[in-house]
Amino acid sequence: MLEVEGLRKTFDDLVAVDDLSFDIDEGETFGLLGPNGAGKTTAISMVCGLLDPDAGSITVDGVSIEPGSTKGRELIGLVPQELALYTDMNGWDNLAFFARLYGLRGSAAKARIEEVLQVVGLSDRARDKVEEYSGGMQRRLNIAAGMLHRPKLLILDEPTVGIDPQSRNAILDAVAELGTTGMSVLYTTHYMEEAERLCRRVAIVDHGKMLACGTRRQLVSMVDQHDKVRISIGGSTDGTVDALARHSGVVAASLVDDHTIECLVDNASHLLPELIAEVGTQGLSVTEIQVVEPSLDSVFLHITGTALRD
Amino acid sequence: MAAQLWALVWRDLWARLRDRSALVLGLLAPAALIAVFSLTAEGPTQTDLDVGYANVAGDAPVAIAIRQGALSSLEADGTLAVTDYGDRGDLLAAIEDGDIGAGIVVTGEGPGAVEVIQDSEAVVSGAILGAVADSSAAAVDGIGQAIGAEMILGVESPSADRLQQRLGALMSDGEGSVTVVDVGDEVGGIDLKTQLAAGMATFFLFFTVQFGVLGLLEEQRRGTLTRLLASPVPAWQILLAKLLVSFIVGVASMACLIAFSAILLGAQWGNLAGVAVLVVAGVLAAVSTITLVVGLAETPEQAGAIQAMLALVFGILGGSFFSVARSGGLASTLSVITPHFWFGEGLVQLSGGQPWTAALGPAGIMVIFAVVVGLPGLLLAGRTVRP
Repeated sequence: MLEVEGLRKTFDDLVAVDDLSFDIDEGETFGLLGPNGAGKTTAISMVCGLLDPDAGSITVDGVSIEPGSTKGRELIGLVPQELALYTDMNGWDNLAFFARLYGLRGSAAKARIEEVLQVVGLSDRARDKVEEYSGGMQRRLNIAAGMLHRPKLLILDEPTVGIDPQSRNAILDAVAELGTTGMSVLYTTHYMEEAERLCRRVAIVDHGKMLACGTRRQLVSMVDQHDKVRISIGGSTDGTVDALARHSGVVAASLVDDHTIECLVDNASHLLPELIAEVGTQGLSVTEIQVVEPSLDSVFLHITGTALRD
Repeated sequence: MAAQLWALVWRDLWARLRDRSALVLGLLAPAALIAVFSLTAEGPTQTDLDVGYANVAGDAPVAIAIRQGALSSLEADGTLAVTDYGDRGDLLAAIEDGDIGAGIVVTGEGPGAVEVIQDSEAVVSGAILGAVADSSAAAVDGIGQAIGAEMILGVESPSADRLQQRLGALMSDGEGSVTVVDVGDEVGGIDLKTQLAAGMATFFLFFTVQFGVLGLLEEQRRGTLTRLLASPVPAWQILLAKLLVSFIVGVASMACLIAFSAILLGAQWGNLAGVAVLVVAGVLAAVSTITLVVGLAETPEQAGAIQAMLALVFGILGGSFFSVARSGGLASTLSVITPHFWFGEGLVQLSGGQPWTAALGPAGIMVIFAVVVGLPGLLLAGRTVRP
């Protein structure tokens, strides 16, 4: 759906985006993860045709995106980081105005507006002025305006910045739902958990460069980190630690306390039934299991040498 | 494509109508000022034009010329309200009491026989009575000289009856009477009310047109410009929409003020087609100015402040409040660079029933102003919508 190849943008001496390449499949939610100032917004501005790249190419659904040209614009929906709404108008009128810009009119526009308001949970507040909305509601309307014209690619630029946890959850749920509609989503964030929750693949960017790209598991494997499985056993752990350590796929096993063993494994979800069975062969029963997978935070730390800064 | 353009235009117009800002600045404020200025410029008060007449010289020809001639005709056309007094003392007392502003006393014949007395504030009526005295004395003197000449030539024999007869004929012809032309109410061929209305309309025009183009900077700050630029609407249409809003608001404001001042205050604008040409040219000049300002400014506040300053300077130089052009000096020279001056000049050209083509010269100069200022303005403001 989206192909970005060798994108580069400089502002005087600052290289904001440096040789950025990635692609997004149809219906895929793809994350651009990086700290503030990493070049995410600059990159998506070029994808939308708002910024003229120094080098590189952008193609959406086979259409080349050129700055200054409106060709292919209807394929893209942008949800800017800043609220892009007329706060002196109500929610419905905002959407009706943006719908007209995309050629949506009459009953088709009305039906679509009702649909997107439903998706973002603002149907009952549609006739209220936007300035009377909470920050979270404004963010949700911002998203509704971006997806109004059924774009093939929806770009969300840090849509949850500065809002309360409840609204944030509502937004993440709405974005997750978009993934089920076949719409491709490019999601930029500096929150690891959002990228992990929403995105099938994530590109980690910092200082304008893409440092890594892949599924969470692929990224984790790049840094040689293992899943941790903590097994609490009802009975003595004598001999069980060694048995688990010898099991195929287990990198190491150690005793945490008298009833708890911690195993480092390559793929916890696949190995879990075998580990439980192994404990059973020892004549013991599992009372509790806890799986801790390596986070993208640790990946970022490994790649950049620093924690992901806000 | 046109649908998108009009969607942009309509959104801005609707927003301005709803928040009433354009209504206040484009219509209510200038209309109120026009009305106030017009009322204060109504001319002399009734008390000023209440005058007195006292004759202690009997049937002296000059007394007849004054009372039955000039004063009578001015009283008849409503310029003066004349009260007759028995003697100079009564007339003086009436002035001191404020019953009348000025008076004329005929004490005899010959030089110094007519005295004009006025209150220090009754400048207009004093001036009128002065003119009455001079013209009447001149008329009597002229008739006397004519009869003298006829006597020398043997055509007529001198007699008091003959003088009275000639004087009566003069009075009935209306000659020798004073005609009050309200020169104070006429400036360069247009009446004061029209000049005030035009001055206020053009002065506020430079504020009113802000409502369109300034929106570019407001959209930029609000973040909506990003969404507009990411939409399938060409960037030039976004800029054009803002220009159109400025133009429409400017023309509507001017049209309403012209109608208001003409219908309710009696301003006389001249040929409507000519006025329309002037309005369009004036609005173009104003829109070009705000476009340049928006191109140069970083924020809406900065642009608003610069535009307000320009509106004030242009307004003062261009004669929105008083005629700088007639004061001479550098200010007079600078006034010709302002659209305000040329708008007023266009109205002068249209006065006296001139056809609409009389406005083409001043309108052309305003269009040249619009091009000279507007082109760099478009280039600079266009940066706002360029990738």
